[in-house]
Amino acid sequence: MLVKNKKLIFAGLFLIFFVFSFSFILPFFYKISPFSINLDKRLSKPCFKAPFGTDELGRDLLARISYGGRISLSLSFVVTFLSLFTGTLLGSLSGWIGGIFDEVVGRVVDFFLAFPGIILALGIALLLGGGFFNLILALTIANTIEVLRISRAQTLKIKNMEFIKASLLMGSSSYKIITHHFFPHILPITLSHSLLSIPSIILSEAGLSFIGAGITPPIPSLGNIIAEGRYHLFEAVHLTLIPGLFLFVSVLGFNLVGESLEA
Amino acid sequence: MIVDLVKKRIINSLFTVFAVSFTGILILSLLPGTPEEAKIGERAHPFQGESPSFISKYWNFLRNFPERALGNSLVSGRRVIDEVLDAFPYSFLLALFSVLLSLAISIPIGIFTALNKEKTVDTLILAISVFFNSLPVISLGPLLAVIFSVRLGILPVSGLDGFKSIILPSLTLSIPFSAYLIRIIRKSLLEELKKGYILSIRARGVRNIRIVIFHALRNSIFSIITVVNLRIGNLITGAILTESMFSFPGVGRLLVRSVAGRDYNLAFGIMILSSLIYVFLTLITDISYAILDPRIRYACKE
Repeated sequence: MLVKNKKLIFAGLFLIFFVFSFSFILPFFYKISPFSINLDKRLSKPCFKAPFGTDELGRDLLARISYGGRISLSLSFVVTFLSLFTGTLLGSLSGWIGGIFDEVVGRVVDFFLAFPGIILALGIALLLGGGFFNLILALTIANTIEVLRISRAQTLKIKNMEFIKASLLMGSSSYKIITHHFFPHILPITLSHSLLSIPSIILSEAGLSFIGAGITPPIPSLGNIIAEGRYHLFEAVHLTLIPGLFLFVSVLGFNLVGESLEA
Repeated sequence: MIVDLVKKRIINSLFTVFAVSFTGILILSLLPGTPEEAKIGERAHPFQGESPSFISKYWNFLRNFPERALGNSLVSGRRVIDEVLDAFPYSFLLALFSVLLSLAISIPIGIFTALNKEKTVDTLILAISVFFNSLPVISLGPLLAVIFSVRLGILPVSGLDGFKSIILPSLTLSIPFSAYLIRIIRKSLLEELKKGYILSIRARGVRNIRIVIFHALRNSIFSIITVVNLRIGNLITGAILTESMFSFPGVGRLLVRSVAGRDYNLAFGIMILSSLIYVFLTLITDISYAILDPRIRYACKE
């Protein structure tokens, strides 16, 4: 990966740093709980005591967005890592072993690719039920497919090259060939793909939670904060606009970094 | 050979259709409650009576396709297929309108940036388009609603009020999409302008704007469509979220409602139908590429 545009990457890294410190460092200084209900202060506008205002149950919006950001970001990173790992491994295995195993994996991939957009993750989340870990599983399955395809295509490309044959003649095991010869060729590509797909994972999580199939209230996530806030569009604009802005900034940060890299 | 390629694609798609419908029916038959018993009020115990075997269920699905194949909604008691057919025209209108709007925005701007390559205007438009391309649907939707409905009061926030109510949802879909399209159009135009035939046209003294519109754009259409195809999943996700945000009565809102109400029959029915249509459409586009694009056609013949 080469850096194409230095200004863009600094802007992106700055936004990512901002989003991270907002979600992970802020709670050490801002000690108000995102769960404590205060019905006397429903839908209050941003003020000194509650910098982002409060929601329909009087919960502090700043604390809720910080908590939601923590959930979204950590979930996206876990999903990215898991799908990178399983996708790369399964793809290279499938390409290396070939035969019936490859055929079966290809069919399974075709099957999963038949569901457009968020629908696959939505179906899995609906079957498993909501919640943090089920959402991780649903999004990981949905994101592994693309990584697996890339890894398999790369494996097929280098599988018949001379250095692999030489390595086989010298008595290398399949394990050694996959870890020592395939991974160094595949990982840069699947890694950059996974990094570029972080914003879409953040968006899928927010979308699923918005629909009501992801993180379930009372646990806040960016998606369900916006979903609850949109019923108060006329009285309390801040309930949708501030979390929307936060979501936008986090996606923009990762997109700027992705934009400035040339794989 | 091109015929072999098409045959292989058709067989693959048929297999996928089979796998999707098979799994769908398997899931539906594992869920408690049969569609026939599921009318509200007279809902029988899920495991009461003799339930048909899975094989006979799948046979029923095939025999009754499409009218009664997917059973009834657990909430309204109507057939899934009827519910979807009622909502489909709205989704279709929204999709058509948003795509036309995005093209109307992005083609002129894309051509403009390609003509002014690497000037300040070009860089500025590119920067703005990165910005707009990152706008999530669920951030942009409320923002537009606040501007146009709450502050200005000219467009309805939700519901169905003639032509007016399609404007906000389609703007929500088109703004990020046209930002994306501008960059694709610019990139493929610049790629095309480097080629030899453009130089020969230019040598004949044809004006630059004419070259871009009548020659470069025409030849880069296929590469643009290929890239846009990759975004279809993204657009469908966006449509689902937008429809439910603006209470636009399309298939997306129906899906979200069925998920929220845990109406599994309707939800999985919509998912099965949409994936079948999606597989069918992908197949058609793939085949039409092979037939329409002379480059692919000749590559296959060799």
